Amino acid sequence: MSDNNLKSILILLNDVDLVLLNVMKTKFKKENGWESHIATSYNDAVKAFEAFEHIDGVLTEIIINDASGRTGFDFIEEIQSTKKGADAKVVVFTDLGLEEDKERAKALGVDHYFIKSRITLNELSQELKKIIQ
Amino acid sequence: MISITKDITNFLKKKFVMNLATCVENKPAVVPVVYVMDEVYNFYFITYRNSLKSKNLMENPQCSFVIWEFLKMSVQASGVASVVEDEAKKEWFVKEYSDKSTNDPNFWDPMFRMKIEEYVIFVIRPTWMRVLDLSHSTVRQEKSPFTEIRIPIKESGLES
Repeated sequence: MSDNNLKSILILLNDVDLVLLNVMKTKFKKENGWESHIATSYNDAVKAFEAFEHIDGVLTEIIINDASGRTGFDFIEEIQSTKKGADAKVVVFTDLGLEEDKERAKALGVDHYFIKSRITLNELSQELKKIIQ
Repeated sequence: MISITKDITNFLKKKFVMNLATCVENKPAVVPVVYVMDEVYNFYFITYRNSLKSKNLMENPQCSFVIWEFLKMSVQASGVASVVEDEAKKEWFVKEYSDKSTNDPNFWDPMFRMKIEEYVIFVIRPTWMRVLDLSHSTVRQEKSPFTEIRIPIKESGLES
């Protein structure tokens, strides 16, 4: 899914807005040179993660679509148990702003925690570039 | 001097925002929208189904728009809008729209700042179009500074 020169990121969001997701994907490609894969459910994200040979970053929401009730935290734990996931930068991009959520993310070794309503996509793109590159 | 076939096409492909005017019950409304143009000079845009422009166009598909840039040109057109139903065309539009709306890293479509609703994609087929060359500063020139474009516009290029 990736070559050695191209940054690959996996984005797991619960957003069903395919127009917005397409714009995000295009923006990240143009501004940061990333090949990003967008998943909108837990299972899709796991499949996409497995398909990557190498992954540079993971951007995930905490509340995600999953019939079993799993969250972004579960996804982070699952990928971090692998060599590929342990090497990737992990960033949370969420609606949740409670301290306990931030603390849990910190305990999991998340590189950054962004609250959706407090950051524009332009800022997110620039911040991610600093974190992932 | 503007070359009808090349300069206008390049200008319309490069620009991405048009000011679109709709009118219902004698009440005009004008809004900026991000547009995409296809190879036969149809203009597409996306909006929420419940937006004022969408409701207006559903009731009265006649509309006008202008795409312009200071010291370059102003393309003014009127046409008829209809809803795009073809799935392949919608998919094409979303790809093109994503590309165009991210060309300027500082641009962010205000549509995304609003609460998500059902989207609708419109296509405007121009019935009248004219171009004003804004690169000159002539005063009261003899010949009209407008160039009228014959409609329908041929696939091979704009015809004056």
